[in-house]
Amino acid sequence: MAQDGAQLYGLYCSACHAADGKGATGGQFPPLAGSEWVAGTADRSIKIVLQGLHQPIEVSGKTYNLEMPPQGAALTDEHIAAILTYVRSAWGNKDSAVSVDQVKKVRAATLNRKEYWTAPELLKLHPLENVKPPLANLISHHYKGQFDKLPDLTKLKPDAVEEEPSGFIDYSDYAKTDHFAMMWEGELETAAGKHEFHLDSDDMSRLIVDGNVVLEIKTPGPIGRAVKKTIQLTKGVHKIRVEYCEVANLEGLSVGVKMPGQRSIKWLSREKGSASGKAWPEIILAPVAGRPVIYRNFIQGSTARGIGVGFPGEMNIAYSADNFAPEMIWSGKFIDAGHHWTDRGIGYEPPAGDGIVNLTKQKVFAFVSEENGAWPATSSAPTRFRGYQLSPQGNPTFLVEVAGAKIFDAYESVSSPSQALQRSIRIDGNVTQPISLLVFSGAFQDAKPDRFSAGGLTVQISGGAFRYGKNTVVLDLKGEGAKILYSW
Amino acid sequence: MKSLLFSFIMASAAIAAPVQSDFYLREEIPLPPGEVMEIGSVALLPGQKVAVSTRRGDIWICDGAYGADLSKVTWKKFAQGQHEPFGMFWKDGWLWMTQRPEVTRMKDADGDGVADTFETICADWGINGDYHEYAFGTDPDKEGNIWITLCLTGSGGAASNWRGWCVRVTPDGKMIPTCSGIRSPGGIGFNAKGDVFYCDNQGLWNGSSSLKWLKPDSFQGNPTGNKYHKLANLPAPPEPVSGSRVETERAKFPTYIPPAVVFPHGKVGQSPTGIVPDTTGGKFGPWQEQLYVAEQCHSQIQRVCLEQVNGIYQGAVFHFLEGFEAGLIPLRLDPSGIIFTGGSNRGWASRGSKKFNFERVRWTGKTPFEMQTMYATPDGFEITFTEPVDAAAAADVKNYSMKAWTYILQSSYGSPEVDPATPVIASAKVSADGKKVRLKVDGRVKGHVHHLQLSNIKAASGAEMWHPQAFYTLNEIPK
Repeated sequence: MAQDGAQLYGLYCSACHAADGKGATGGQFPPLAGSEWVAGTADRSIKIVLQGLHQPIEVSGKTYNLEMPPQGAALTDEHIAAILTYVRSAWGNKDSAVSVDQVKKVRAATLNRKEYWTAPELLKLHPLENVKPPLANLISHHYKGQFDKLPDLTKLKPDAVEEEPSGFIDYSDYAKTDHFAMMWEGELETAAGKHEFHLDSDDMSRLIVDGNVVLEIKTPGPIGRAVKKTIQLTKGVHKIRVEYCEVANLEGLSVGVKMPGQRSIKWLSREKGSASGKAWPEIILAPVAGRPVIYRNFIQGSTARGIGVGFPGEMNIAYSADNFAPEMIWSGKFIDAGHHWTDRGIGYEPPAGDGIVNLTKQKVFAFVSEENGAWPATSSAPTRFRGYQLSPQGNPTFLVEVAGAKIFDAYESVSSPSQALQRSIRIDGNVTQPISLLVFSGAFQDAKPDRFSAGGLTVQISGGAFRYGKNTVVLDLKGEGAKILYSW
Repeated sequence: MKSLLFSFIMASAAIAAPVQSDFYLREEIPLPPGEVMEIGSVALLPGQKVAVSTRRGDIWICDGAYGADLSKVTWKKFAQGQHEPFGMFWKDGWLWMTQRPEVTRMKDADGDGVADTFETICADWGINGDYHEYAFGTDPDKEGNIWITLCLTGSGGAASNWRGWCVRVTPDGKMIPTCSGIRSPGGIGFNAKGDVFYCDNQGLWNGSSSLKWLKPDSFQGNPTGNKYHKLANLPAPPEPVSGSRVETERAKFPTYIPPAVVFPHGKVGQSPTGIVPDTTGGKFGPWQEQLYVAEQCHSQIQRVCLEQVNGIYQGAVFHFLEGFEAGLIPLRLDPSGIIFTGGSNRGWASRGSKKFNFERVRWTGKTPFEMQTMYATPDGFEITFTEPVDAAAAADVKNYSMKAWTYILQSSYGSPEVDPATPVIASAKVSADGKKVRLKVDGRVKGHVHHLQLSNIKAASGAEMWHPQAFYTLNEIPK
């Protein structure tokens, strides 16, 4: 029976890809109209329809991190052929029809595949045929010679000049040789606005835009010395010139640009640099009007029940409601919520600041007396997280119940005698056996009864004394409670 | 010429197709400027205040959402930093909330208008950092328990404790595992009687999205999370055969409760969410005790007429309200007859093209000509209309057509419509008052969705039918 591709598209696909193929809700979902993924071989599209696709994918210059559910079990080969034939001929797309046989073949070949596809996997199997080269009219020049700094290439005679229709800056033809320089000249088409250029190389390199040096790596050395600079460009075609010099042994060269409004880097070189754009717009959370900001979410380095708190004075913690403890402490910026607040918010987000110190990574209450010393592998004290209270200033006090006793664990930012995070621990209720709190696990230095340091952080106690074990710092909780000061 | 044109316009007006605004007034409630308000739940507070939670974890309280002039609405931020709550209600001075990691109740103890006390009631289910491990919670049931559906990990696995289960949480925080077999819920709520239903989305072991009855100790069809029965020494849930049918598998396993009402994929939405029963006593139209079910992808609200046959829920879904500005997630119906709803299309697209919305719907007082109810009978279906029908047209079997189909129950994603059947309308008997039609239908198929399409059937008043189709899931045939 003949299938109506347009109608089936409307029923199964248009919710996300939109009736006009431009991606639903103002392009929040990947477009199919004019998509480089749709054009060319249909096998790529058939596979995506059959088994679905997840993880980030760049389509028409924009990165999406959603999930295309597999339709292979819901749609017949006839349905898929009709839908893809429609998609490949609608909205200005001009690709060939897809036969039922072709779908059948791909289905048979991928019958055992249960996982979703990812973009890199598909690109390996089916490189995009119709991608515009990143640089137009690209020409490469190769120079032999032993250089200790970038030479003035205008004074040298190239031993080879080649057209590079791929449009990628690529030295790989000479990768097995030492002692050479290369220069590429091409054209980059841009929109008006700020462009962030990225450059990294082994050894020296230089990026010149419209005759002006934008970035430069002047000395021999390995990859990992990436530089970047943002410049304003007008809409139109700009001259790009890249100079590169290899001394000996390893090579490397990455050149990229983050275009206006884009979150990911477009690589002009075959090699991609380690710098990567975020797939989301940055939303750095910060205290508002001196009040700490709370962020319950997946914070990298803590557990899934993370409660991030960003305090005034650029001090931050990630408290784990699974492990009843501040598991990380850091200074500077709190966290980029853009990750979890864009698309589906997939994954853990690390702290946005610096000086990150991991305090503990396990449940922190146990019954251990001074005599038996060593911290148990699993917590011996039945503990429940009971929530938190905010003071009028917004400072949190976490409440846990340990074997019937209530433990109030309060935090606030203090600025005297110096900037620090002050933690106050108080016990309420009957303590039937001594409760101990794991304050820190890992390598520490300068251990004194009332202080130690780790990773640049100083931890100081009043109203109690630390007890040190092998890679553990323990506080035996007494009735009167204790104050701990964290400072850098 | 002039008079001809005039009479043509008059004639057009008389037969104008019914439109939503004749019957229901949909209005956007202004949101606090500059805020991203992807609404995940709506709670009603004393003094005609409405609280909403957002996917970003903020709780806001709205004053003026009931008012005649919505431009006077004011907002106050009550809390921030919570973890994607889906389910919130007000009880005894506390706002209770089901959020991803736990059930929380919060209040403003010092009276400064901002929540300061956040009590963790229960955090006994597993989460591991997977974004898909959502938790959707109800209002309290008659015993005060909150029912919570726990989405699978990544919607296809069960990497954390109790994923793929429905649990109840008692007011003192005890967690009672209650049903297995869940895939990816979009919402949960009660029917008028107080039984609990949830919406599961099309995917693995779920051929089409559907409204499912969470009968305690039941299995809902997706065995991915079955293993967790061991954690509480419960009997092992059924392991259905992939490639089978619900009807076949439930015959083997008495605890396997079939979907009460299947929402055929693409035909009646494709991502059902919030559920609310109409207990307004007619303040939202003549749909007493029926369910309204929100829809994220198609930005709609469907109407569901349920019945229990041989102890099993089943019934019909009708198209109802549409045109909402974003993908709907929660539904809340105020006893005075106002629906409050809102949602988001972040991560999942919607027909409504705004990124988020908060809206209310009120009944204009005018009742559309509709199929009010559809119930199964021993030999067919009985339709009740909202007003007397044109008896001649309604008695003509040619004005009815029916198709039936089901879906494959399988471990892979979704299903085509399969096992098609064409039941025959053998007779149509109109009741004396003109409000009911009894259809004798030959060739119905137990377990199938039965799609009834009406044509040329008008009200005796001349009114045209607003939605002349229904989708009835026939789990049981009454004797």
